[in-house]
Amino acid sequence: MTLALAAPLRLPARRLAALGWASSLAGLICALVVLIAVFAPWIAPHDPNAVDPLNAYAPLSAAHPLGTDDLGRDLLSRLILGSRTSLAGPLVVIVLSGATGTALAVSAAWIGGWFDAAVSRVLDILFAFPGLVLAITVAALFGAGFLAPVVALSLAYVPIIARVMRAAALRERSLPYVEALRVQGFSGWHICRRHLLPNLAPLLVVQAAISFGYAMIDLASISFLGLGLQPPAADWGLMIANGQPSILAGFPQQSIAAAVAVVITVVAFTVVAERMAAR
Amino acid sequence: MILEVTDLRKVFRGDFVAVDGVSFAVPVGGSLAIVGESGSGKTTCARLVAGLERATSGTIRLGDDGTPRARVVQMVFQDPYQSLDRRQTVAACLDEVLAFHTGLDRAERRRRIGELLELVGLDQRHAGVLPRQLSGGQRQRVAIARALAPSPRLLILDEAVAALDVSIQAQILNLLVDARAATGVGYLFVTHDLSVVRHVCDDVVVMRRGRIVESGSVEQVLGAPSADYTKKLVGSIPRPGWVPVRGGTRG
Ligand SMILES: Nc1ncnc2c1ncn2[C@@H]1O[C@H](COP(=O)(O)OP(=O)(O)O)[C@@H](O)[C@H]1O
Ligand SMILES: [Mg+2]
Repeated sequence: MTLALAAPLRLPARRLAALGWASSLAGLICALVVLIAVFAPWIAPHDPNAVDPLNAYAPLSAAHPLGTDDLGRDLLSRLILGSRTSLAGPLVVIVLSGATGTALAVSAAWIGGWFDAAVSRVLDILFAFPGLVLAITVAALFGAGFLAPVVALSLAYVPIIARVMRAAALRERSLPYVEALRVQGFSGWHICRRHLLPNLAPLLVVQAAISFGYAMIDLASISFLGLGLQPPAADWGLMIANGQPSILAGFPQQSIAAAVAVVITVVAFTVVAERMAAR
Repeated sequence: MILEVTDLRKVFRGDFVAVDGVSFAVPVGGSLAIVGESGSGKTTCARLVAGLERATSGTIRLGDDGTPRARVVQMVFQDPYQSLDRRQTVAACLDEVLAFHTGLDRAERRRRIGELLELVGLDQRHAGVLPRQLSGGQRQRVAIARALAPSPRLLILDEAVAALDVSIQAQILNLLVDARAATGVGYLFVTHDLSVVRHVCDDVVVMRRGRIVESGSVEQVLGAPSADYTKKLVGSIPRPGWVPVRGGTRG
């Protein structure tokens, strides 16, 4: 797993249209991953943190379908439990950045003038700053863990969401129905809340779904660098990192399993998002 | 007078004079047409009266001062495809306006929505549908119902039938004649097409390059135009011999 994976995963809509079955499969995978995360403690066959040194590096078996790690912990159980933080992180990122970005975008588009200019300038500056670098810096400053990288990454994703939403809000705002509503006597607040936002919501959902995949990779990278969740937490990015010594010992399952989980989830979410965007 | 406009001026971006010292008035329940070729400043006048633009100078007096503007004047726009929120059903669209402007409770509003739909020639079948399921003419009917919902005393119609087929135009014009008779609402009817004026309006002002070149009753101005510009406009009406049939006829 390298940072290079964070490069764009966008697929051309034309190619996707030919892949109806692929998007169905992707949707199925997304649903499955979410279900696994929700019911993780009941699905996991073993306690993910139960250390059993005598059973370290156990090979694949019926009792341990993915084997065990250097401390004898069941890898499948850790992978299943790890889905929770691995999904929760990106989820918080898209909720925070989606809400902030949309609020900024709609108010900038509505108010216009100096306010729009100021917001756009701030977004440009934020945009110029690579999100991952920002998150790593914040995590280094405020300490590793779940919260600091997630909040920093949310901040970094605000301009990405806000740019798209601002352009859409400007388009929406210029439609005649908005003037009709103004003549009806409705306030700007009412028009934004009851008309602009609901009309922009589908686009926001698509943007959030696309960002979800990127955020997952970014957060896994931060975990991999040791600035995210700390051991013994089960987290996919962390598992990829922790699996490194085992690779040298000839047991690459941990890193491979976690990396495959990240890649499959990211691809599935991105395909679904692109599919929604193409509609 | 429900509307009195005096010496109205609108200058865009410092130097372009779109409306240049225009005065006109609409009596209570009256119907005034503003005609003129494209670019003569008609829409700007309409938007000034509706409160969508701010006048550079001049005065606009709307009915009794103190009543919120939206309950005195409402507007129907040219484009029936984009002047409704695409996510809102017909009933929701009307209900939103009624809830905002009237003290009616839910049941009373539902009854009023039925009345409004009937007034514009629609019925309960149309209440639950989205704009995209309606034709252009039907959408314009919804826009008229929405504009009539706050019981305004003046309705601005800016090229309200220009985007519609001629046969649909006739239906909407008849609807406007009927609605005026039924509610006593006045019209400020903006159009570049003189052929639709006779049917709906009592009086007319002719605009050219931001100024009024002629005004008077429809019969007088269209029957015996005095300004050369008006003569040219009247000469370009496709059906010169057409005489209006007054009253609530359907056709
Ligand atoms: N917002 C605006 N900014 C600058 N010029 C405008 C604006 N709105 C209208 N105009 C100009 O004012 C003139 C009159 O326009 P308008 O009132 O729309 O005429 P009409 O409705 O009679 O066709 C046109 O030349 C138009 O280009
Ligand atoms: Mg116009």
